[in-house]
Amino acid sequence: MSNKPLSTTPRIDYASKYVLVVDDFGQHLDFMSKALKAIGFTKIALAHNPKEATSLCQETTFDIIFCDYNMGEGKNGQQLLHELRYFKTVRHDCVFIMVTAETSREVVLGALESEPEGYIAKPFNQAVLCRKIDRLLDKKMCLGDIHLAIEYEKYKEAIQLCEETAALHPRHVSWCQKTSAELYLRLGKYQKAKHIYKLILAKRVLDWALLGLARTLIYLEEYKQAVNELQQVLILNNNCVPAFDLLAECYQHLDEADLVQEHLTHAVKLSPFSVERQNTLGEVCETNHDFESACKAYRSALKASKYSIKEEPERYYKLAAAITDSMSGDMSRFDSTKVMEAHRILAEMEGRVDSGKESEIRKDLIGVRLFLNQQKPRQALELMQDLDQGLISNPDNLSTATLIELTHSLLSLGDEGKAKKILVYLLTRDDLSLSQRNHAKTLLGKFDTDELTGRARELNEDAAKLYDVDNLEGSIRLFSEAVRLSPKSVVLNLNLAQAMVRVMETEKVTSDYQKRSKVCLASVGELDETSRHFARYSKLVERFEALNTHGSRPN
Amino acid sequence: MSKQRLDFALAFGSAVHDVKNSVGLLLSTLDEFMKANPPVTAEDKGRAVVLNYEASRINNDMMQLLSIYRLENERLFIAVEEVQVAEFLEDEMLAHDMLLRMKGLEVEIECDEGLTWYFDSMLIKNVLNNVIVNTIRYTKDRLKVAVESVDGYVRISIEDNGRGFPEELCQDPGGYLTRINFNTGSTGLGLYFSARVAELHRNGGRAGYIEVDNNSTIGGGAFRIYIP
Repeated sequence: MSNKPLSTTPRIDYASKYVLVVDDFGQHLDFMSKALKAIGFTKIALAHNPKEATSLCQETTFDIIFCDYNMGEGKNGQQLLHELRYFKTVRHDCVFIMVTAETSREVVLGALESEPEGYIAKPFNQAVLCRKIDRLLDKKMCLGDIHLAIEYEKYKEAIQLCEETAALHPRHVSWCQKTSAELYLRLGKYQKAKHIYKLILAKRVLDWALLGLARTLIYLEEYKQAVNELQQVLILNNNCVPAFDLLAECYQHLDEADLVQEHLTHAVKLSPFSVERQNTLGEVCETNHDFESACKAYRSALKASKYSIKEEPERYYKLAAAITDSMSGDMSRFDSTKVMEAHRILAEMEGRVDSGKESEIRKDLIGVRLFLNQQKPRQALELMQDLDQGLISNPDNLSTATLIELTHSLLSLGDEGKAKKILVYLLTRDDLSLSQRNHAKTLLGKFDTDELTGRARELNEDAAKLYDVDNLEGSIRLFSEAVRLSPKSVVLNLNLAQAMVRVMETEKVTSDYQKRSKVCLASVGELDETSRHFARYSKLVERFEALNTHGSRPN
Repeated sequence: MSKQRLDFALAFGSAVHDVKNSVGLLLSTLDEFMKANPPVTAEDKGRAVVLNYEASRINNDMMQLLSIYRLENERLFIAVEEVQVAEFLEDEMLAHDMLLRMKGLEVEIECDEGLTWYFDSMLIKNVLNNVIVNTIRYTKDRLKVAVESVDGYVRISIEDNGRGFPEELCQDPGGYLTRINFNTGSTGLGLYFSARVAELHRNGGRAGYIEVDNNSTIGGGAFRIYIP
């Protein structure tokens, strides 16, 4: 091929093609527009940001999209591509070309939605531009039938076509292999996919093939092997975002919440603009009781969602709830600016999005915890009582997110019995995400150990010690404080009632203690015989009633 | 202290991004301008070459600076993929089309049409950009790109028929820190960058490397990158 002139004349009729250029740098749009005109394009649309690009794509069927990778704040080109494909805003035959000024391209999962047809590095001249377009249009045409079959979800046919194309065009062998493996995954034929990935890896260790193999192993529930493959990817490239995502997924399955948080934290550092990833991170932080990190993740999720096609109310609820829960436990965590922030976020939601049909319930459930954190147990209980009636008897009508919110509020109130019922029910639903399921399981696990959380537990222990040395007034003071933190807790209410009954038995009956014991016993009054607290409860009720009949008159 | 460093990193990152955008636009506009107004006289051609050459150098330097910065901070992505080598090199020469024409250089590429190999095409492209721009500057009138398979590596050579490289460069081409020559204006940054990028490419326990020698088949210097 020596001395062959380097041709710059286009071979394909550009004039009929619709082309879109997306770039936040206005002058680059100018340049592209002129360059595209110079090589024969006539139908050129320009977008300054992903949002504009999306609405243009909804109006026009583009044949080619040039998209800048780094568009400053918000979504990058990779995410725009994923979204356009995911929502089928672009057709299967659209050629997506990522324009990048980066030093290297991003490693993507190898999934069909996320792979652009090609990359072009800035700066480039018209000759390079022409050549790139020709090659990619050629390739897309050559593989057109396969893309069409995939678009219509005829995966078996697509795999067949991949095999035929690979035999005819050696230059597309890799693409065909990669695509077949991906399609086998979609068909649930994991062994076939595994076979292809292993075949590729036997020839050459490639990150995308390792990632593909790891995904296959996750489907096959071989999580530990998947972790091994992913660690290999990180040896090749310790900045590989999908590897961190998949590792987190493996550790979700392996019930290692700390490791999930660690790997997702790494992934968001490298790629902060994914709503889904930040949300999962927030959820796992909550499971790990790391509410500060949860707030951070939900804040980022909210920020990222403002750039996405559909902004969801869920982002606002999650953040407001995490801010609220970051104050739970004892008064030292109380922060009036946080209370204001939680209210502000919920108000902002009203102004921006449709807050959904459960919005009043969601807001009230967060409100219950806000009251508790402000040491206003009576208001919290009243608010909950209003909600209680309908909610718990008809959980089928509520969304998973609302039910999880409900368990949080019930648990904060110390109402373990109801929280447990909801959690058990939740785990039977099939719309739970992996992190939600793990979260529910973790919460449920706490009941077996009869665990009070945080400050309430400390107070309870201290109070019990005072009770044991007959410092009854001291113990009543501490038990009361604990009950203010978890007003529905059976253990705490029984402890407090027992201490007051004991005082009244040994000293004198006061109207104050009488009233308060009654409230305590009433708040656990819905226990049935199967409850492990039932025996103790019945005994206390007997002792309390005995006071009223035989005891001295209150003075 | 850490805050100061963070601020510098941010300033550095955004400045480089900005300069790259500007230079990129400068180069693209120059290309358009030359297409619309091809220089006729030798003097104008010379000026066009200077404009393009210097802008390319700034662009390459920026790219290298950014890459080395990322390397040092372990934030450099390396994405090895299967590459059609002949096409890759054709595109690479096409990118320097104007310079080559203005200088009236004779270009040849020796590469098997069907050859595919595995590397990070963007990083290798940045390495070659730098070498080719320098070669165009220093060669007499020829430039040759040759690709061979050598002992499990693919070797890409950029050869010229100029005066060749100084001996100490051939001894240790990647030894940037030991050799900054402010008199000649050569900092060796490009070669240091090339060596680092080559080294990032690994396969089965072997790492890539570079060589610089004066055994060019067309009678001058040669830069060679070995990719495992």
